[in-house]
Amino acid sequence: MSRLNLILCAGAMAIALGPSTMAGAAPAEQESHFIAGHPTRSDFAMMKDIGLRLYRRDDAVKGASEAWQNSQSGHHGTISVLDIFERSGVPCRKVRYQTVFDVTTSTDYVLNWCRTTEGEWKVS
Amino acid sequence: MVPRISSSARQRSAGADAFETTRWKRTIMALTVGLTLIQAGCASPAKPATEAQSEAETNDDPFEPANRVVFDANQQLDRYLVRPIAWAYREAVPDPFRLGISNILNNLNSPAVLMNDPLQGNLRCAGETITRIAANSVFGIGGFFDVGERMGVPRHSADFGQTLGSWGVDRGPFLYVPLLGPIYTRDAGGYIIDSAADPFAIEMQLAHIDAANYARFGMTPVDFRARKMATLDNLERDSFDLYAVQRSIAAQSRMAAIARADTPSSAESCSLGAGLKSN
Repeated sequence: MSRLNLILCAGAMAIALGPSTMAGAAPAEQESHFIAGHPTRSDFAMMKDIGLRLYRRDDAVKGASEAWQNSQSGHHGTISVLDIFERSGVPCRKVRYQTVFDVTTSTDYVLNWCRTTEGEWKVS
Repeated sequence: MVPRISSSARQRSAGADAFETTRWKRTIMALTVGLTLIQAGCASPAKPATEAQSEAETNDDPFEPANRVVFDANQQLDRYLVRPIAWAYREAVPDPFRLGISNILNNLNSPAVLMNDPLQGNLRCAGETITRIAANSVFGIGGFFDVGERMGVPRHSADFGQTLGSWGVDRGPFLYVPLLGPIYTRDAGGYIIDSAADPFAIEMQLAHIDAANYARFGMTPVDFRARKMATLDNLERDSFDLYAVQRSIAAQSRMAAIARADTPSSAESCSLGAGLKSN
């Protein structure tokens, strides 16, 4: 399929969606394609600290996990290292984030982290 | 536009008929475009020639080059317009009032949830949605206060893309739509259906109160962006390829949403049916 065809297909779908979007409706489809729940900045700070200990390091251990609880936000969760592998010559980790926001809202995501050539760990 | 109500029931009925005809025509046209796209081969891309294309196919992303163009444009729009407005909104408006606005927007979306609960076979959840709409609209002052949650009936989400998924419809190719963001083709079709069937938008159009729809249309992305400020800022900072990360998150979120729709309602809340609940 040529690039022109791809662009035409995507454009036609955008035209089909446009009137619906402009109708003022706000269905759940949009929101449910993003991370659910509302982790706070202090949640992310705690998760980053755990990340530095758990997987953003060369001697990370597959199967390691650590729980966290933020008394400020009331949120808690567990971070686990599911796998350790290499991609294109750089070290990577498959990390699972299980988070509970309240009695009705919990999330479960798996993200891959890899170390860039500059030495930074990034989700990729 | 000055609010104007039709002077007689007859005029109103005629206007409603004309409006409904137009709306259904638009819906049918949109569906036709979607089906034509699929039949034309959009959903069946040619065999990939490179490793990158092969990976894109694994991600159900045959339109990746075009999607990335839209993604870049959306990022610019977010950086220079949506995020600054959302940031100012967070700074200027107190938390309880912003929560009230979110609650009103959620309440306006509840009819779509009510339409999809029974389609997913979740009759008890439909009952909960009816309870929430009544309680929040009447006692919650149009939904500003989430009375339903205080009654022990927390919000749950349901949409037509999720319904189609629970019926076994494949998610189709990944799309990055202007203004809307990441979405799968099946869910884009669901978006059209949910939007076309939105009773508040229809009623406001019938009553020629377009300002209400514009206000809702304008407020929704600001409210969404304000609530996701920390999440999106962190993702943007920590992602090597934000587009790929958003695609992965979209796939995981939708899989969880459909797993929830497939899970029969338990004796507990509808929201506890599965691991993930969008809010």
